[in-house]
Amino acid sequence: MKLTGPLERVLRVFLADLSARQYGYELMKAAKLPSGTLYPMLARLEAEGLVTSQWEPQPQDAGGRPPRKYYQLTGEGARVARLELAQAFKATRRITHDTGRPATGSAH
Amino acid sequence: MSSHSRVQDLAKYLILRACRRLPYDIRNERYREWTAELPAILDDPGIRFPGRRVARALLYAADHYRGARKLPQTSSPNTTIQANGGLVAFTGRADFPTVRALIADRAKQAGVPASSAIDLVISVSEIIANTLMYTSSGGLVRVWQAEDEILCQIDDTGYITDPSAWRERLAPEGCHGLWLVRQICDQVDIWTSKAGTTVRLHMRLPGAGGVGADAVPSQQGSEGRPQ
Repeated sequence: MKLTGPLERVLRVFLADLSARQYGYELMKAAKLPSGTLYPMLARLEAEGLVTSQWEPQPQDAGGRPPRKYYQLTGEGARVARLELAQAFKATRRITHDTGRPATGSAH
Repeated sequence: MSSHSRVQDLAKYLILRACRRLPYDIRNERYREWTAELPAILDDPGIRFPGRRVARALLYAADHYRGARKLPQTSSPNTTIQANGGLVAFTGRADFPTVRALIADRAKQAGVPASSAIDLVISVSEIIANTLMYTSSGGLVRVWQAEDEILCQIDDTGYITDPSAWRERLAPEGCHGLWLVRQICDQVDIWTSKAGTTVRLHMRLPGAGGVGADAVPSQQGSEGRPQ
């Protein structure tokens, strides 16, 4: 799994509340992603077993709305997501260190 | 509320167009999933201006058209094949009789009427003729019975790049075989990539009733089509 910016944002939203039911539109808003980016990503995560989806009937008082689908991380998904984000964090720290050091060194 | 419903109709139409880019067997579900989000967008209390909500709903719907291309074009075609099926490999014209015999035999076992069995044999022949015409290697034919239909699947090493193959209309030149197959079978799924092509033909068994009327997505997307 290659951790891209959009994917990282989606994983962060999922990890923020593992028990939350994430609907497509709410995920789009929270991760600030357009639908054409979000849904292919969710499909890929689902195919890899990191995310599951479920249909949920809407309450009666919602005026006969159709059932919506929500997404949740699986146990494996939560583990992989934490690992990937931790690695990405480490990698960015290494980059800032690497670029920072020679700059101060060359001043001498 | 009425202007809402007009916006919803337009958004649903855009989603329908996006879904037409998807394989048949996942179109319906995606259409239902994506249109079900529309009320949440149009009534989003987080957006103050109604015009903004409308714009967002339409953008949401339109962007699925781009996303549909990136969705996996497969619902993993090889996983649902059941043990009660038959399988035969083909590498050339000499294998046609074996393939035909297998399909005819399994169709008869499944209770397909003789005339439909012939249709199915013709359909499979068309697909494997395509394989032999466009690829240097042969392929694999599988046939099996599901609950209320008989399925034939042809796997080969080719990659369909001609976009007219996807169109439901009759192309002016070539691809008539696939067009014919679409007319004969109840459903045709195609998965194609550089790794190979899988064509799956569905034919409903007699007595399956009207299940197909809403279970099988027609090209018009009759199920839940915007009124």
